[in-house]
Amino acid sequence: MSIPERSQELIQKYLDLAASETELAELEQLLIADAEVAQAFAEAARLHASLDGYFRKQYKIDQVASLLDAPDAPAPPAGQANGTAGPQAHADVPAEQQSPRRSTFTPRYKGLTRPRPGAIVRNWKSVAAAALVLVMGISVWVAKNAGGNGPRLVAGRVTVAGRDVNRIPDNASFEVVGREPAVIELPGGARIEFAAATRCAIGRDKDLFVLKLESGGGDFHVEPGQPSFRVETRLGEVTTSGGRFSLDLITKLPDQVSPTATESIQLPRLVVIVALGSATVRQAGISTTLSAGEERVFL
Amino acid sequence: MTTAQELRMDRQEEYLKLLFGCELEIRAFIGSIVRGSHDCDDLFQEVALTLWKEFSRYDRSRSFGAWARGIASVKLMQRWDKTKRQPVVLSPEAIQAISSAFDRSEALASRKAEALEHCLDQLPEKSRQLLSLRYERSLKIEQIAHEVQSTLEAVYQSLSRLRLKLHECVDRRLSAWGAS
Repeated sequence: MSIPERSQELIQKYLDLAASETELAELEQLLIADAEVAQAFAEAARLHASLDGYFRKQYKIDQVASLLDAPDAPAPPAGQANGTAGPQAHADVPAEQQSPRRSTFTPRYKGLTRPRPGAIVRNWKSVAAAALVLVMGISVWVAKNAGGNGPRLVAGRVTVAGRDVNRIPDNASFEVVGREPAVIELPGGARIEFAAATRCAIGRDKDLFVLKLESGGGDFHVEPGQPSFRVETRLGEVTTSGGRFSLDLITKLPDQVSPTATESIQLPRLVVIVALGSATVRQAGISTTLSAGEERVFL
Repeated sequence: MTTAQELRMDRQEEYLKLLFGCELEIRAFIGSIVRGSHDCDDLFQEVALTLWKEFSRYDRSRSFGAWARGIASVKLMQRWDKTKRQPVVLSPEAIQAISSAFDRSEALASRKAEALEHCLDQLPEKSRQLLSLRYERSLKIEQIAHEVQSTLEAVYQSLSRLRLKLHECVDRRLSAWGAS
């Protein structure tokens, strides 16, 4: 399919948010009058959305890669990554454009560079030192955990398999009993006030606490710098790097609600309200970050 | 679990499968008409909610994507304000024309997205960097021009050429796969 160059130019300008009012009106008329222009617009919009999705995904991958590389791999000067920095490297972009201040692609290729021979000995020593630190760390961790340093009950009542507990065993499903909420403190200081009748389990994924919320909810509070956690629910995962938010995983409505109302309310639903800082909800691959004062329902 | 609950779960599963299968298409459609990623996200969520509420009326002999775009079109048209042109920029007639164009070409959309990933892998690093400024960092053309110390026109031309090349690459790849 081939459309006039002017139509193509208008579509590209529109998608790049660079079309003037006059150009916008011109494009609008073309879209209505010419099905081929509308078709080209749809194709261009798809490409635009795919590129957007692709590069956002790459951005996240690069963020993780740069975090992993951060201690011993400073970024090379802009434009010199991977030896592709020659001024003629890209024919589409004039030479003066070829040095953006930040290359997000550098980390992906760092692993391909060959270490210098002298560095191998230093690396061997580093590996040995790291192994020693790791062994010591594991010993400390084992010693601490042997002492029962898990989530502890600060207020309220919680049962595991029908028995009252003051400490929550790893991955054990617990239930908040009675009419009062239960406050549980995680090692490191983060506190969660679980609402009455909430069912949840607390496990670990490496250094991160993982809260598997089956039903109910509560108020989650993490100070910046405190070890954080991830809340997993059937409707998505919630994380924060510091903040206060409430979650309510509604699986059934209270008995007093009329059957008509129950019929019109979609269940289950996850209600997230952020009071301080921010919280990110990841549902089916889509991440939504809510800031203080925001509230959202996830179905 | 009761039979009613099982049916509900099956329906939910079917809906989610259809929605995720068309998500990129629906987002591409909404994103081409609404300005601002937040407005786009909000509208997508609103559309997804309406689709679920109306799911019992969905005619399975029709394309789910076309049905979703129909509902999205109505919501977009409701937001159109001729004087402000924000957040919806195009008129209802233009929205209708774009929606029909999406309908006509949705069959190959997922294969095109797959082909695009292959084409992007083959791009020279510098081209990727330019695209990254536009899409990863969501910079406007003038911001990119400032970043790379060039003119608006040069950046605009470079991006247009790159996207054209990607279009051609995708078409070539689809032909090679025997899909066009």
